Amino acid sequence: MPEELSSELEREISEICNKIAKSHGLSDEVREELYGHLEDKALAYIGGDESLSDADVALLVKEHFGDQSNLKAMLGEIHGSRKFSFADELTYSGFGGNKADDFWGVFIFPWKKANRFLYSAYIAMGTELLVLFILGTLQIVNLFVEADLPVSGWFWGGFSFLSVFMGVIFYLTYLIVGNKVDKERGGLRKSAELQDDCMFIHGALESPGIAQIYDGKLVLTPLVSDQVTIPLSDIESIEERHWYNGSQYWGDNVYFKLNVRDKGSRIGFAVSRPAPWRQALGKKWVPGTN
Amino acid sequence: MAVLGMDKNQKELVGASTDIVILGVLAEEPNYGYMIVKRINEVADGLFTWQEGTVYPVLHKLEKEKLVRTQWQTADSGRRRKYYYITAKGRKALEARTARWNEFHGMISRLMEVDYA
Repeated sequence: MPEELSSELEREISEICNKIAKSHGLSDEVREELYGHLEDKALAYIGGDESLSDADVALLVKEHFGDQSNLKAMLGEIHGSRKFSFADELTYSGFGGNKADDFWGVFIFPWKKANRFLYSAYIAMGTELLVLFILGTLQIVNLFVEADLPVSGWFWGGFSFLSVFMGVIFYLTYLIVGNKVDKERGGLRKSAELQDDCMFIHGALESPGIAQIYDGKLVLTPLVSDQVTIPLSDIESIEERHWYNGSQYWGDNVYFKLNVRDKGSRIGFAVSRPAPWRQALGKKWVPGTN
Repeated sequence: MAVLGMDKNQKELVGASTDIVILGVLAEEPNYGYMIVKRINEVADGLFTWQEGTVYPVLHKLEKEKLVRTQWQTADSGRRRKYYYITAKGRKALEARTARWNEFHGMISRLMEVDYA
């Protein structure tokens, strides 16, 4: 067994003992007793008198290897990742991207849990109101011109059912995609300067995802397809739009179409709170679009 | 007392017999905290491992109950350590608790002999 600990180790052990003993107002005798135990333990490890269990080894290996989330994010930037099967890609491209666009444009993100029920209710109610308006109009027209327009009970019931059905489908879509976004978000780098849920757009592909800015880079992580990293300095200009591919972006939602050096302008992302992104992306706006 | 490597039921079983275990170790020979834990781990033979620091609240409780007494002295390492000695009261308590444990063990053994099939 070695004779003495290094001053660094002595300091570490003292700190542990101080935290336990002093912070609770325990006596110096208790502190000295605890210090003695830790000193013996440390000397035994160094001298080889104390063996390491598998659990000890796993602890050391994990501790020395570094933070797993950060490492995953760093490797992801370099290698990208193929996260889903082809069937998954079809599903998410269909549901998360096009279906949402087809109905109401992109207003379904951010993918917060609270939004799922809320927006589903909006969809169902909105559709129901539309049905009521149409059928109400038909009823009135019928009264005046006796046109025998289709306003039977089955007709009404069918459309009402369709409204509820659309709401349920929307909720399920949002639930599936939202859970995937939540999971994806959990694996990303935690220390981004700016982060938001987004709609990732690359050519014809639209996918829910997460946009981040850190270390002078824009990092777009779609659910479908590989992560894209763009140095901010490579973004030559930005167009700000409120529509894409025939879909309207309602409310505050904005689509940023990026013109990237050597990569063209087929990539972009849409967010629901554009102000911080405008600031972070810098003044590269194409005239007339912002 | 905190142990590692056991499920909840096993931990409860060990927790209930902590006093007996420590008094038993001290009945073999007086010792200080680090060596007490080391001896327990030797006897446990891989069944469990103590979270070592948690031995001290138990030792201090036993001292308050006057089942053990303490004395600072120089260990083999040449360093000052607080040694624990079992007292006469501690030996009686160890006998009584051991007897109760053996009764309990006997009851369990008898129950295990029953054919539950």
